[in-house]
Amino acid sequence: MTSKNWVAPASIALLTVFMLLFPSVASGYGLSLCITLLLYITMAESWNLLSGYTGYVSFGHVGFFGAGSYATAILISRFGVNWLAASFFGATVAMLVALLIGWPALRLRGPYFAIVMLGFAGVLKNIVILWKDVTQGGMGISLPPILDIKPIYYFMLASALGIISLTYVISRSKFGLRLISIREDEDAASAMGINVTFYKIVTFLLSAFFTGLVGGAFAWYSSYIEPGSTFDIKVSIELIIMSLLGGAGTVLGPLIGATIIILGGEYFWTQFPLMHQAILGVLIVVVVLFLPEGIVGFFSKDKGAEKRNLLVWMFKTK
Amino acid sequence: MTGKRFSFKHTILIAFLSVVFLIGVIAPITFAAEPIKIGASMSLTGKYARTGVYTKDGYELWAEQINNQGGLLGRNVEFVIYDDQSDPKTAAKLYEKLITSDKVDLLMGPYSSGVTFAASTITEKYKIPMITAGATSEEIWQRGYKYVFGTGPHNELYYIGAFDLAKQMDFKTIAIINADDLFPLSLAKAVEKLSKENGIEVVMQEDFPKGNQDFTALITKIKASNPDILFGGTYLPDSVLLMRQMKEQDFCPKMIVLSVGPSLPDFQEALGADASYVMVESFWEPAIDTPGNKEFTEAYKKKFGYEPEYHGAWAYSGCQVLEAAVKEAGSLEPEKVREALTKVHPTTLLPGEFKVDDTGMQVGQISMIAQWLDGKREVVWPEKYATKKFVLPVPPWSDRK
Amino acid sequence: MGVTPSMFIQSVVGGVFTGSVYALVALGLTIMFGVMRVLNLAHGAFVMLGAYLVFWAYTLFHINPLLAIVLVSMPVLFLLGMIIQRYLISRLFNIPPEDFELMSAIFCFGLSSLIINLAIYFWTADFRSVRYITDALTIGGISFSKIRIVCFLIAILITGLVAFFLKKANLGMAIRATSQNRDSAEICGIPTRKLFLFVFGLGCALAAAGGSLLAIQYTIYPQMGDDYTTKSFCIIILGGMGSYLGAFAGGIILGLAEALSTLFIGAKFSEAVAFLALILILLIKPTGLFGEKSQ
Repeated sequence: MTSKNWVAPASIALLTVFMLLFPSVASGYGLSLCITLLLYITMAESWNLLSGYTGYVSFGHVGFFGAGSYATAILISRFGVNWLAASFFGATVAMLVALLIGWPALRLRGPYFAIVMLGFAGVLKNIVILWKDVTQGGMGISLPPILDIKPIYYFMLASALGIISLTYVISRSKFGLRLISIREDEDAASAMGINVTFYKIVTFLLSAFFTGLVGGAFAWYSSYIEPGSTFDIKVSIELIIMSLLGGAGTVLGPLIGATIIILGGEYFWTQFPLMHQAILGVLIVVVVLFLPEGIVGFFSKDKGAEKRNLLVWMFKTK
Repeated sequence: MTGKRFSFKHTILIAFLSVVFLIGVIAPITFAAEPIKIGASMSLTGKYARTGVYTKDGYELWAEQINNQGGLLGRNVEFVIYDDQSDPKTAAKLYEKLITSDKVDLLMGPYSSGVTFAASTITEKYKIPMITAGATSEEIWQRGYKYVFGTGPHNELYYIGAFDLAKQMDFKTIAIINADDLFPLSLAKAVEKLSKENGIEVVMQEDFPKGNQDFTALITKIKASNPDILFGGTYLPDSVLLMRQMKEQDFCPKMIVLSVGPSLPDFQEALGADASYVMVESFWEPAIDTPGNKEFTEAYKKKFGYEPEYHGAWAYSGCQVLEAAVKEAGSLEPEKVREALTKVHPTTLLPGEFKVDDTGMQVGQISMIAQWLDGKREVVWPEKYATKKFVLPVPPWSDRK
Repeated sequence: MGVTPSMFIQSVVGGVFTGSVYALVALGLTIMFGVMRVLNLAHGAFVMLGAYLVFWAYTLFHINPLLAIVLVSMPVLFLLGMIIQRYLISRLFNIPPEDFELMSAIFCFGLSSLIINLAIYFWTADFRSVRYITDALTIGGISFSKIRIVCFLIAILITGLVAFFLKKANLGMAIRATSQNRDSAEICGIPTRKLFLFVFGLGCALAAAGGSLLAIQYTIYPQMGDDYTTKSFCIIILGGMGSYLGAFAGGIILGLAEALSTLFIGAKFSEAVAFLALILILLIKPTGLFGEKSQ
């Protein structure tokens, strides 16, 4: 208990210092890679806040990313709004979408929730394609190219730190305890007087907010977005895998998982240009077979308390 | 003591001379032998993998041939190609890597408009010219960019020939259907524009989702609108399915023009005789009379073991343009190469002449029209390059065979 | 533009034909989920393998495509399914049973990535086709493609056989019992582990059957299964996860919905229809049209 308490914050602090200094030494490409890395860290952590702690596993988080991306891109391209403000707008839109979706969706359990989230992401993609007047449909939205990506890097860093800190605070608070009780036995929690709907929705909104936020910034970074790659289902699955790999339901698990997959992926496709995706597939298979609790769980000495057994309760219906 | 100092000085002298020798003599040779790196991302996997392969082939064949002829500016060229998985975001990342990390000397473009759109934002940012031999949508050049250069005729030029033929045959109406991707959407817009310019009425236009599995209902609507011409903004699976289902419903308009799909041999393999009379845009055919074409076709077949189709020749031609520009500039410096690209008019394997407008969009190369006749793709327009006369109106299904 | 009765009927015919293939593909998925609680995200990859098997059988060995379905495609994938179950998925049983579902879903995704990329590597991205029967019958002004009629009949036949098997055969009843309540089934002495071998094999074989039907109607390429995975999930939710009748009904309904939405509203809405149907059913009756009330 005691040794665990300072390791996590200390390593984060150290990492933060490194990341703050990074841009001064990194090449353009290294910076880009880190932006992508921080993007996924933020999204995986956001997913984890919802799915890791409440047990509501979402298979459609890319929908929030896309909502944020498109809202931001539309604001920038049509109204000339500054990218920072536009990103927060994107996050807000993602949050509103979450409110719309969450109200009905969070009534479902287990695999039903997972798949309805998949469906929502699909519907959002189709809305974007069909609502040509606003989103330019399949043609995509083009934004002015940017010269300096350092501001985006810092923004992503801040977002990642934000969601990690939020997760940390929640995990150590009563709020987090309530979430876990929902995960362990929602009916019992409700029977004890906990307003489960409130907790579920708030977490859902927070999760969507951060995902949409970085979605917006990433749209600005990309200078061009189109429905196919912005609502790619693979992204949703990657977030799940990253969290699982690192350890779902832990504070740092998703960060570890995302880092391994993004940096590892880099290595693989430079070495094996034709087979890298197949190798990723093998990696996933191996991880699931041999590291079902993720890396944090694997290294966790105190298997009782530290082991966040999200999955135990994921599909348990009564 | 004296002996030691003497041999010490000796050593220094020898070392000094060796260094001079190395720098002055060996180094230039080694530096001269260092190859010019040309970077590109390509759709080796993903939805464009089928055509991405041909484009890569074209790049590689050109590199091999130019090296055999002594290289570019006296140095060998070497392609550094990464797989962008047909994904715009990945391509952007890869071009950033090629420029900043691999520090390539020159760039060539990826395949497809969507991917090129994303990649060009990177090349524009770093001010490195990129020639695209895989994208033609006008939208790419409507952003005020200065560093993207097209080598294939842009979308609005694709079907000029088809409309010329339509006018000759006095066709009056057209139905347009297209997938909802950037490229087919852009083509549909271009075709609508050409229709209006030629006084042909657009009786219906519909987008269909890319993963579409069934054209039955859509065909009933097209049939009901009774067009003379059908234009389909399609890729291969759609074009094959469309033709099959049109045959099932015994629907055959007087003229059928489909994009991309019919340019692949797979189209004819899938449909057999039913592929006949379908028209497609073509930037190049093996039989056309352009400089070096016969040699290219033979060399290509020899190296890869299969026939080239237009994407391969297009890629090769793109490299020919790059070659011309670098030679004109006399250097690899991005600004100089960029400048040269606005000025050169090299001949390539493609019909017409390389010429870009001030946005970098290609306006000189010609898009021909090919038609499947007797199991072969024949050029039917323009007359200059035609290998056979066009057959219109398309005979109804019952009159065939 | 007005819609005539003949347009309507023609669209319905097309939709039903398409839907029957959707149904067959979804059937394998729902059985796997119903019995083993595996969300097989690699389903599309197996469909693709089934399609390629028919293609190679026809192209290299000139085996009649329809025979190839039963002689080549289904048996090979049945075996493959059993092998995957025996050596890979069964290892997941070491995880607490409730973890199993998410883990197996992700595992299958990894498998899918592996299979598809191996297919691209070995078979290239070239588009393949099986040109078998291409003409159509015309009855009362409505065209019925011969090959689609055949595929429709095969889909119905196979679905019927599976339904019959599940209802009457001992093994089938054991499967249904395990699907209802695994613990009770085990207590009753049903060898669930052995059952799973069979079920996974069956699920893959059905995917192969679906893929085979696709092979003779559509274009074959490594990524062809992707759309089918997503659609299949929508279908089994629509019909009710674990319900065999539901999968069939769901498939037909989806095919019809796509065709009719194209006809009356516009082709571009047809993909949205699948997702909308999914969401609607989940909001109204989450267990699906034919799903049971509780697990």
